[in-house]
Amino acid sequence: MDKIIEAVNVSYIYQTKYQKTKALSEVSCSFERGKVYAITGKSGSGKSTFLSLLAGLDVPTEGTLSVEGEDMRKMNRDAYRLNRASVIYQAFHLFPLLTVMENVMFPMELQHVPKKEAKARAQEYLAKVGLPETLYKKMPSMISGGEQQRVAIARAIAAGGEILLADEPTGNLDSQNEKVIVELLCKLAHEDNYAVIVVTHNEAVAAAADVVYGMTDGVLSVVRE
Amino acid sequence: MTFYIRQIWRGIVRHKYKTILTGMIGVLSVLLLHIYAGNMDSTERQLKRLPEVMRVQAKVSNLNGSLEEGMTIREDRVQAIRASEHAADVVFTVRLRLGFGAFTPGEYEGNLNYYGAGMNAIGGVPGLKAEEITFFPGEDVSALESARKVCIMDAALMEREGLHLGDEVEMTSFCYRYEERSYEIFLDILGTDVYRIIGAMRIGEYEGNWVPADVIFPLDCMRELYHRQGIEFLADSGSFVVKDPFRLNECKEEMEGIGMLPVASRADFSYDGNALTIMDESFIRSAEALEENLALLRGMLPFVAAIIVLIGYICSYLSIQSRQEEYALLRSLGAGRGRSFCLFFGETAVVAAFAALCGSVAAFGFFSAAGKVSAQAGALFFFAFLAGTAAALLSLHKLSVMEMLSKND
Repeated sequence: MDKIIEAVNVSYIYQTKYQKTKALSEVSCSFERGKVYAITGKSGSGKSTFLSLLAGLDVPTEGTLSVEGEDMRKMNRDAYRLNRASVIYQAFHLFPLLTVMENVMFPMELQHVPKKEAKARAQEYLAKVGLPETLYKKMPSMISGGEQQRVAIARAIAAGGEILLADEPTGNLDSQNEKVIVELLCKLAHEDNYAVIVVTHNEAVAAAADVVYGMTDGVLSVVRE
Repeated sequence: MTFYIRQIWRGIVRHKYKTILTGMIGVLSVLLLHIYAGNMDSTERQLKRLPEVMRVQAKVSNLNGSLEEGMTIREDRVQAIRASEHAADVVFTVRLRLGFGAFTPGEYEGNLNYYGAGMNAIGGVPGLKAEEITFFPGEDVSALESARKVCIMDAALMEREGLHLGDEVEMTSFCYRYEERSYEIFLDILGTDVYRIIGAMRIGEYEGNWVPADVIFPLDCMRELYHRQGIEFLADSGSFVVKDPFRLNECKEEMEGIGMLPVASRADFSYDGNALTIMDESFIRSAEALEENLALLRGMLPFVAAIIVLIGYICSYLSIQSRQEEYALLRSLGAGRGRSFCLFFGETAVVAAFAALCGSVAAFGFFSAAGKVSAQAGALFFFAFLAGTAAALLSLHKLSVMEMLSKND
């Protein structure tokens, strides 16, 4: 078993001045390389909060979340996102004032990869997600939603990580582009050994996953393993 | 570093409208700061130059202030004032009567025809200007500071007597003696000596009250004649300029120590020159007004700085409202808080530096601002604006990255 992330009794409480809301309640699960995981559930069930914890953008209020045995609380979470885990969003979130190529090169620039090497690697990743070369110099606003999401995936894998987190990656796409993106994510897991964790409402996306978790009121349960 | 430079430059160019707007606000702020800093600098300079522009003159008088010449100023006081570190352009004079050739006091009639004066500077003759004296080659007014047996003679008198510059002439001189009790004035002989004529004077507008001197001698030369005759040297009038009017009180204390008292108008008449009239009223009034003005301007500095901090905060706050997603994305991609802050802050720092530079150049053009003022205004703007920017950018740290990026549109 190639376990990469493990959550043990993870709880998360949102606290404001007047109230506390338990968004996650004693979630325990693990994620392995080479598999696609889907986390399904209604809006407000705690899916995105869990994804936020998996991305190291926050830490659990209680319980332990570890990456290859290392407690997330004790690790440099910025470095974790920079080198090991990337997030794909429903609204793509490409830098609007950078070209397609520059967007993919950006994480490598953050890692101080030399420009020439970064460009070569960006071309490789863009080719891998099936984006035609004619689009490399275009601005994100000039390409379709499906193409933008493919650029976002190329940017995510450009950092050279092994964990791909996706928050409703097909939410803004038509069925044809949805199929392409799902296939691409499955390919990255099965062929390139990524641990792909997808938060989704979409049944077709969940159907393509190797493991499906359901989230109801912050409680995680196994739907299909 | 290359990464930061590239990203900062990219941010500036790609957000060009925001950059231009921030830059223009910056330039205007710098121009306004120039007006403030320029005002402060001008007031500081006026205060600094006040002693040059408004010289504080001190005149020796008798105790009730009724006499400013024709007095008896003791030699120890004369020498102490001349040596004082607080006194500049010190002028003391002593009046004499004289005649050509050698003669005894009994032969004064027909011989004692001229008026003379001993002085250590030409300021001792009211109205006499240096250009009204023609000097023998190699000589100048500094001869009056020496004890040499030389003299400057009235040009008309020289013509009448057939004398020329460089001639040596024998003269017998007498000094005045004032009798305090009877208010009588006597003449005592100082002796016969040969003097070299080193200058010829032609006074344009004499401004004194006494009969103008026909011959001027160096003061110290006359002092030696007094000593030779065993007569106590007493100067006739004296004045000086307070060297540093900002140390006026120290000057007054020193003068009191010398024995020069403030004028007391109710005192009895006396020939004794033991009082000092210091014309400091205008200086004090002007200095106080300038100092008040300067204190007010300096007191405004925290408020001016606070306004610039606020401008920096508002500009940056409004700018980052539309760039929150960019910040969240940077964080999501693994750029730490510090790194993301530096990228945004760096952009503003470059724009602020450019605005400070442009504003200073513009101020130089519009107001002919001095370099020091430009540097002050530019630096004040730069640091205050960036303090505001830093405060605005720190608010980004509260942003929930996931919440921001989970939005669907």
